[in-house]
Amino acid sequence: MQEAKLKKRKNEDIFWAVVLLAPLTLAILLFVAVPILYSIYLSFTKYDMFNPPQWRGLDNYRRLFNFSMETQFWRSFKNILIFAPLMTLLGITVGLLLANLLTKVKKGSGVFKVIFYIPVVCSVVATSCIWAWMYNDVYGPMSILFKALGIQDYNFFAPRNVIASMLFMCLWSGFGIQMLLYFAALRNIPDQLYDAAKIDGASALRTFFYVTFPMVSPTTFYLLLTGLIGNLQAYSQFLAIGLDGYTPVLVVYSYAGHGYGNNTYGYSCAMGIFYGLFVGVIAVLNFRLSKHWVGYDII
Amino acid sequence: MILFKILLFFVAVAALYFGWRLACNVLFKKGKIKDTTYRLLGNTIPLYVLEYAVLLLITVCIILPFMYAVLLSFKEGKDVYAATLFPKKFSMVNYRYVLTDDYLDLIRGFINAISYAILPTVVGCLTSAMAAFALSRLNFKGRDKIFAVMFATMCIPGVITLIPSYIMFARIYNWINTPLPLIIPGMFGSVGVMFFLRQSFLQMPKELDEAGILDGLSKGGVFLRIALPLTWAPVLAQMLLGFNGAYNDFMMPLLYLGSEKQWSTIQLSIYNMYSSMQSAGNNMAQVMAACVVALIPSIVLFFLAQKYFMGSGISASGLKG
Repeated sequence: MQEAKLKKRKNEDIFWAVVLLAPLTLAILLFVAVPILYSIYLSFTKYDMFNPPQWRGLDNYRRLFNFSMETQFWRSFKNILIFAPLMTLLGITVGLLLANLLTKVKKGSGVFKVIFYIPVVCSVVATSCIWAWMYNDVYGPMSILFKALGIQDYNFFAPRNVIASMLFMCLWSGFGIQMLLYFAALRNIPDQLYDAAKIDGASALRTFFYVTFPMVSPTTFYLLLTGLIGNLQAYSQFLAIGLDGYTPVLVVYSYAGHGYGNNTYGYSCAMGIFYGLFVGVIAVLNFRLSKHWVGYDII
Repeated sequence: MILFKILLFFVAVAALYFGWRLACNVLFKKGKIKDTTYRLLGNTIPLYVLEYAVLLLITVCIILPFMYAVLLSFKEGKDVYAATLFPKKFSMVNYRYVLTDDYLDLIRGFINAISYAILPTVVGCLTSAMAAFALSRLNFKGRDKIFAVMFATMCIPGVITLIPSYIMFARIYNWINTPLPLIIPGMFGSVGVMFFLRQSFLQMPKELDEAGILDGLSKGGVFLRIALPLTWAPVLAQMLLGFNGAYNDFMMPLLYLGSEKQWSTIQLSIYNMYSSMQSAGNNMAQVMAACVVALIPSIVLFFLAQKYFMGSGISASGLKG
């Protein structure tokens, strides 16, 4: 009797598991697994959307790694290799410092937190348009500010300045996330640790590096991982502000958005797979290295 | 040069700060001021001033671009290119233009964006919650393996599926130049939302399930009648976040809606307006007016529900918060 009831319950669980899991599983199969397999297949073919794909072996990859022929992708690759690590580190540093400051402030930390988070919820198109005007080389407020500081003719979108401009804009619009997560992590550090450090006579700087920083290392790891993955695939800010083709994702995309009728779909799939693997390797490396500096046991 | 001036500014601030504290220290040592006054003047107040000065400076940096955009949107004519912050006279001409212009059709874009966002967020959150419930409250073989596989798909860089999805929507489903690619895939749920909701299902006491089953509910009934009503706050947070994300998205509309004007969303309209500004004879004040219109719903939603926005930002990371 009891056993039959238990078995019935188990079967019921399996039935409901199938029903409840069906949509998400279907989504993963249809919109993740199938596209990836399809992409791997297409990357070995020549495909123009009208005629069936023709098998071309490694041609697309050979074209991608022909550095004299394919310059657009590698130029964008170089750009992102400068942008992504700098952006990630900047966001983490500013977020941690500000969160630290906010936990020290007695009154109004909630208000500041909300204000700093506003740009995060705003649309990329709107903020990029605003910053395009801020950076305008004649009428933009930033140009006027720079002139007042004694710098004439500073073009924010000149090749040597554009990364700094984009870093500042993305920091402005994104540091709220890092600040928020660090703020939550800092609040979780038990007071006894700080008391102990005080008794031992540690300076503020030493307390920060030997107490605060190790205690928030899981948050740092999370932000480093998601930040690198996200920033390596940054595109919307660049496209919206008018820097089409500046990052690898935009180059990959440009072969689908504008390449209609060209024989470039197989090639763009090859690019996408190569770049996706690159991002994946960075993510895995991050996980591997995390063992040496992230203290999961303390939280 | 600029770096030098900025450096000079910070050196001056630091000199003022430490100079003040040193002066207080000297006065204290000479016995001119009492212990309590020294602590107040030499320690507490300068620290307070410094902290709030930094926070206010950053607040100004955050607010100023928004303020500039709003003030610019009220300018007209030659005033747009004047180097003044405030317009000579506040004119609504840009707002009248962006809201009534037939070619731009911002109102339609606004309605489109909201109507595309509703189905994927509401239905998508429910399907994600279903999966989250199955992966946390039901017992079956291989549950944790399924979860691990699903979690792993979250780490797959989106750039891999970008082109093949486009080709599939174009050739197999024939959905290009319709809003269906923006709506249908989202309705199946997403792993990120599932991961987040699973955390809150795991925190629910198991006894509640037992009580429901004793009262004659099936497992599906437990999900609908007990688990979902109890976790309405995180579900609502995810819906708000998803809605805001879908409303703000412009890459998907750009990719799939193309130049079909009748389907255009507000973000896509603004992007098109900005990128063809010169040729269409628009000026930046008009673009700014459109941006302000597009920003209002997000910011209002954020201020109304900032607890949900910021709370889910923390728990979405899966870290203790």
